[in-house]
Amino acid sequence: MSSNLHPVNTILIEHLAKRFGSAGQDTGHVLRDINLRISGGEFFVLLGPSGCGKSTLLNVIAGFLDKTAGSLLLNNEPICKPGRDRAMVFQHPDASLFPWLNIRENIEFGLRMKKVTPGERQEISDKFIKLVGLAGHANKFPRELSGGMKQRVQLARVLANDPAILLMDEPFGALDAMTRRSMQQELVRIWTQAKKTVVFVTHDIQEAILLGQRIGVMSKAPDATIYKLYEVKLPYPRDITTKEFNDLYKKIEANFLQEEADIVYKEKLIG
Amino acid sequence: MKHLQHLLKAGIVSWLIALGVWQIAALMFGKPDFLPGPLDVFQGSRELIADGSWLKFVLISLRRVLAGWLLGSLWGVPIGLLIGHVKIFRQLVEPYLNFFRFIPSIAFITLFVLWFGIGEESKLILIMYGTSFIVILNTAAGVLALDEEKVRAARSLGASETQIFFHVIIPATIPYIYTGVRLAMGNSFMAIVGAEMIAANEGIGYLIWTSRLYFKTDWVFIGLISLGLMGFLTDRVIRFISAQAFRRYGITTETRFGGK
Repeated sequence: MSSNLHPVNTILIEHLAKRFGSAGQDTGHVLRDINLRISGGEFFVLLGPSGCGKSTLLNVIAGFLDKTAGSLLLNNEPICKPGRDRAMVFQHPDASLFPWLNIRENIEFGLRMKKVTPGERQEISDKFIKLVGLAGHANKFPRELSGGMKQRVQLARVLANDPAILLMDEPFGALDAMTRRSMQQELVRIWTQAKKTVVFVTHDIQEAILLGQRIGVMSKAPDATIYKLYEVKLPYPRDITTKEFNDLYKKIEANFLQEEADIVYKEKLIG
Repeated sequence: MKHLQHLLKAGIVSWLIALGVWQIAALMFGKPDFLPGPLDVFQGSRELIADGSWLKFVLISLRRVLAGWLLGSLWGVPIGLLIGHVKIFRQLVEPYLNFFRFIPSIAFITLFVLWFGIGEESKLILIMYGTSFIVILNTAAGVLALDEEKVRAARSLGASETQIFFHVIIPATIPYIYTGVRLAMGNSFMAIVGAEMIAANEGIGYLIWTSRLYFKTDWVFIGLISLGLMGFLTDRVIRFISAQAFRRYGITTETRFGGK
């Protein structure tokens, strides 16, 4: 693994399971037997088809959802509720940004909750407004920005709060292809500067290879689990036109198709 | 052409047409006691304005409406927030809401007069009743419509539950509260006119009711026009003040039929 990994801010997941519904009515497990170790500073991608439970896993790590069984540790401490050490970048900025606050106030929200002085807040928000390329937009409101810019605001908002872990739930999924590409490049640039642990959820194989140091491939729910881990050793910034990139893409895609075929086969056996 | 567009937008053309149709209809009937025309009403209004009773009645009705509406909103908002935010409170109160919302405030006039007397109190309470329901329902609906992701975002940014209530839930609910208090103003007028017709000797409702007894049909029209103007102006004032104070919450003066 690359050298910017630290033993601190490590997420350790063992035999984690998640089931929805009350104990009486067993609706089956969404997640089953997840085992994962994400090291400090690592860029980890959770890759899987839609509805496979990868967002559920992310929400469990964030503390928004309780796990049903297993252990989930951050720095050897169990995670049981949301905290400022784990920040979430949501898929839909309109649902998660505060429309009554301007860009600067949105970015300063966490600091204001922490009762940081206005002067210090301004200093920090200035820095992150610049980092995500929103200089000159500080006094605008979210409704005045494009989708890509709103995601930049979300990113700056969590970075300004200085979390140890960045949880990202398909943050570029709703953007057009051009904007998505530039946001992916920006994220890599910001990640190399900010040195945060990132857990990034996506269903896009290309995006996974473009961003992740490791890719965990998830099977479909019910009983979703991480059944394959890939290490991506390509240097950043990555070039999607290289042969190595393409080879890995084909390998992962073949993996998906195989998994799909297995499910069809199983269903036939049952049916 | 541009001038006409301007007049249309300001509603002046619509009103000129209405006045014209009304005057023609009145002339065709030829019975001012049955249907007075705009000119008759204008004549009648001069008497009423001259002896000061029109202004007095307008101010009395307006004072009742504003006081009841303000008090009803003041206690409706916190209750609505509580209902939206605290599940057990919502479950406790919801049956009452679903029962009483079908009883219009006017239906309570006789009871309130019996309980609180014929004075100002009963009218104030009547308007408060009508106001607070709409405000409560809209406020609670606003809290319930809040994106869970906003709360989650705030929580993972380190906000405490109290901070989430004041910094996320209340600001996110403001547009709903605004709609609620605007609708409530309309209801307040409904309630006060009813109350003044039955149990008052002053106010616009009283004017409309008693004028009928004296065959002063033109004064009935003056009462109606006054109500329309009072409602229109108060709504304008609420909209203007809200747009100034709550612009960042997405409230602007640009509204059509109460929508955005």
